[in-house]
Amino acid sequence: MSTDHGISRRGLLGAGAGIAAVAAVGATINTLPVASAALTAGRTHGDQVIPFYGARQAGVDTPLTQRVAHLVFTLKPDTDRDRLRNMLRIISDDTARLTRGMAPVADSEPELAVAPSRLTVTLGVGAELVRRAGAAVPYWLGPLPSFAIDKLQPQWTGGDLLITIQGDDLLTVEHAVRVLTRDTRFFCEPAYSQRGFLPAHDSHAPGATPRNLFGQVDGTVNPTAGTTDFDTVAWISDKSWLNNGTSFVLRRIEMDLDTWDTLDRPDREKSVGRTLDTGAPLGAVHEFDEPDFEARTSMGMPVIPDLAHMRRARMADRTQRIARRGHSFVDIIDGVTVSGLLFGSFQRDVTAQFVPIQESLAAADLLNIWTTPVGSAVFAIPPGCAEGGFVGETLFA
Amino acid sequence: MTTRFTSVIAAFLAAAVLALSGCATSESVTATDPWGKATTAEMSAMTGVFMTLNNATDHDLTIVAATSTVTDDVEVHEMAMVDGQMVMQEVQDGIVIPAGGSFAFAPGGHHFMFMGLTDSLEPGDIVDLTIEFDDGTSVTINPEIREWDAANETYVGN
Repeated sequence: MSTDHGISRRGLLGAGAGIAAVAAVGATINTLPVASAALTAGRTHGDQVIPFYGARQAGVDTPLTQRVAHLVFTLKPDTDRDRLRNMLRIISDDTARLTRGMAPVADSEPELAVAPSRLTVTLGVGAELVRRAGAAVPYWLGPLPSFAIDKLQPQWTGGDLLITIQGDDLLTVEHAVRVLTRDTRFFCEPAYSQRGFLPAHDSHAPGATPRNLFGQVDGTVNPTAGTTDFDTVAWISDKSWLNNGTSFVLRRIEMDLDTWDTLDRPDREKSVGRTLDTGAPLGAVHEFDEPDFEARTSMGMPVIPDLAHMRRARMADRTQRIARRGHSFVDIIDGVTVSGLLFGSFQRDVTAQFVPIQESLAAADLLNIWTTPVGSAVFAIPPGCAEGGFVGETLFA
Repeated sequence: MTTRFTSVIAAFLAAAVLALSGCATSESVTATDPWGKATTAEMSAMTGVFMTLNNATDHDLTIVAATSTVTDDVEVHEMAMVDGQMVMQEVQDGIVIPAGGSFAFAPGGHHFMFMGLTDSLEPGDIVDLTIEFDDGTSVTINPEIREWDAANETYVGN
């Protein structure tokens, strides 16, 4: 045994008198906090887990949850390839635990981790991060083209790293926000974060299309998770580091509820082309009925107006589709209430799928009267990982 | 996270130290969630390392030494009340990991103290720690460095 270094034998054997021996420390100080039965007994939803490990990241096609936090970061100048790998490994380690209701290593509030309530964490990377990792930057990964309707503000735009946290329990979500933000602290500066919400998980029929703050049923035409249709629209299938990944467009859309309030119900319905009560296309009966864009009123006018949002968003080229995942927001900014939609969109190829739709809507869409995009960012969503791996590992292959 | 060996170099160096010291490696002692607190150049050059040590042998194990390739000076500390103040100090008697039991090293409690650090330990770094026991065995573990804002206790060592 080496005696040159390590614990001094003098101290270990109790022979040293230089340090005052004092009152024993209570036993509790030597006990790691763990989730006890008392913390979890009798609950119904807290144990709901959406698996973290898998070929694809959770939070893309997994069930909608009540809460979302989009955290966006900028890489520090000296965060190089090795440090990026360390950061991504730590984030995945902690995510794997948080999503199972286990406190991560070095969690200062471990009791806040005990109710995952369908917690998911989805990681997205910007072009600068991909470059620093030494991987190929997809041609679509960068700022969107500017649209005439945009009034983008720097504080809601761009970013190198996205951590999207979703779940049904706001306390659990905010604890994950805290833990994962601390994990990035050495490597990144926080750029901005956005919080959004959906109806409570148990207050509507399971699977019901949620409504936005305009009262509209919002998201009817989304591809269904787990279908080949969803795969075709969203999941990348190739030989690149993004195989089993996707792309994510995050747009902060302010909605002017005050001017919307001046609109009568028929005009509200015409602006989108759907009824407000069921979300059915105008002239149809059920939410999922196919719209009849040729239908005319007795006066010869289109039943679904030419500039209705639904008509403008429906591309003739059916490959130009997206998988939407939006959340409402209500923020108090400098004492002023600001409302809107955190518009999220997954697709294989931003340029081929998202941009044509946005160009069509920017050119003409009745909803533009009451909506204003003020933030915009594009991220690549890497594939998932197996136990022992980490999300983003394919960047370093 | 159990003990990991992601740093080949650290593991190699640790093995070299072990070979010099002539201890038998214990396969019955494991560490759960070993980690250490990140340090920067601006901070004092010491930091705490934490874990739960599990003793699967049928006899109590007393820690007699701890070493690392990161620094020549590793101590085992406990928290104690000195003059009405909670401080950390070197453990007087060797810490005992009970047979078939565990012992937790945690912020605010017992911990390993890496002293005299000359380089910063940054989040994601993997360090090594070899713990030697009174039965002549030892275990080498690889704590991962993490961000941590507490564990700023006053040290009363000399």
